[in-house]
Amino acid sequence: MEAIQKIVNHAEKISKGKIKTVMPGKEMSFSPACTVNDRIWQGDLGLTISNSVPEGYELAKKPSLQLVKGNNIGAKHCLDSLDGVEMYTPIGWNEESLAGPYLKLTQDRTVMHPKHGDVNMNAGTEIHCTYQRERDNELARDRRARD
Amino acid sequence: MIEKLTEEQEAQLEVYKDKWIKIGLECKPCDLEECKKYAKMAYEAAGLTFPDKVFHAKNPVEAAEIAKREGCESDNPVSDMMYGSHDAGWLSFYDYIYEVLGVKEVEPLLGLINLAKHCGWWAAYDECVIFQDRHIDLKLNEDGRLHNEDGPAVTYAGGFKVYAIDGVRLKEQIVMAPETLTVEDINAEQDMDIRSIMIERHGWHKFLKVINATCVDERENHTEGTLEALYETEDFGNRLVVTCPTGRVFTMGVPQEVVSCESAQYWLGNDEKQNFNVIGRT
Repeated sequence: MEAIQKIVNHAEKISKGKIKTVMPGKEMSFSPACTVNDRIWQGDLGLTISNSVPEGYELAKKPSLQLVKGNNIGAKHCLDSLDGVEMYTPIGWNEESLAGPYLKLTQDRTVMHPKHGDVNMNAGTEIHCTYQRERDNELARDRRARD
Repeated sequence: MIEKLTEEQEAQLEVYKDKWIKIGLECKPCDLEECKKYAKMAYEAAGLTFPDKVFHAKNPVEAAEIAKREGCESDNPVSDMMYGSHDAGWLSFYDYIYEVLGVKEVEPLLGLINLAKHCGWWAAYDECVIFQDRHIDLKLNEDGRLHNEDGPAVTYAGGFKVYAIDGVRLKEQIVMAPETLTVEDINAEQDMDIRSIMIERHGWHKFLKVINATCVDERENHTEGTLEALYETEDFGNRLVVTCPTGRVFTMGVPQEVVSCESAQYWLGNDEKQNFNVIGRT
């Protein structure tokens, strides 16, 4: 069978809840054993355990619950609360950035999303948000820049 | 000669930017009396006589029809049109240097500057003037580009609509009936931005199947519990087709030199040096 057809069939099984290891909306957590550079993807948002605020970041004066720029459903990766969160954001953070907020957590926190499962993060950890690359958008931006 | 802006003048740049963005995005109908007053100023500044005949159109198509009916169109009536409120981009600059910096040489433009606050596109002929209403609805994305995936991005009274996604103007079919697009339609499109939106809306995995793209790698991603395949295409580089843990199928572009599913995932994660340890994806 063609690879694409296998993938389409597999996706259908996942959506019907027939694959126990991959359930739509399945929650994931960083275990206490997780260490620096361990990463969980919530869709196209990467949540990575880290240990220092990257250069080019500043303490957010008005931190937002939403960790991805944008108004569409895909961007609705949101913290359950800002309590116990010290947030740093990239200077000049915009929709084209591949790096997003850096979170220092003094309380357990959860990142929620309407389609993806929750990701639970532990108090005492530092989490760096990054984004999956989008080749088509990168090429479109290049074309616009050349016009 | 102005060589340096004062702090106050510099602060006004932001004010004038916001003011003119608001003018450019305004959706109210045109105010015909104000339009006549300021268009007359513009004619006079150009040394021309303001014509007796004045028309009011709901949208650019209606305006083009009036121009044709009145026998005053050129080869392309749209190219005769000035953009009124949509001239905000360049008029904002002159409004600022007139009002804030006091540069009097801008005065001949005051007709156009004020007209932009009262109408949409307009056409100035020797025989007549045609003023248009502004759009009645406008949908933009975060970057301020025209964008609506479920309907028109620009709607005028009288039924004229413009469809666009991420600032790329599209045929109605691409937005409203993407399931009717054929591979022939897609391949016939020369503009790469439009073509890529057409494929996105048609469904990448369907498109790859129909064009018989070559599968260069496939694997089960044990970390994520999903299946992946990497396809090579002539015009769109390599495409990674994956099942998402939400039960959907996604197709993502990666550069041509990425030739395995594993390296595609590293590229997508901006982790070509493989520094990070992916525990899973939800």
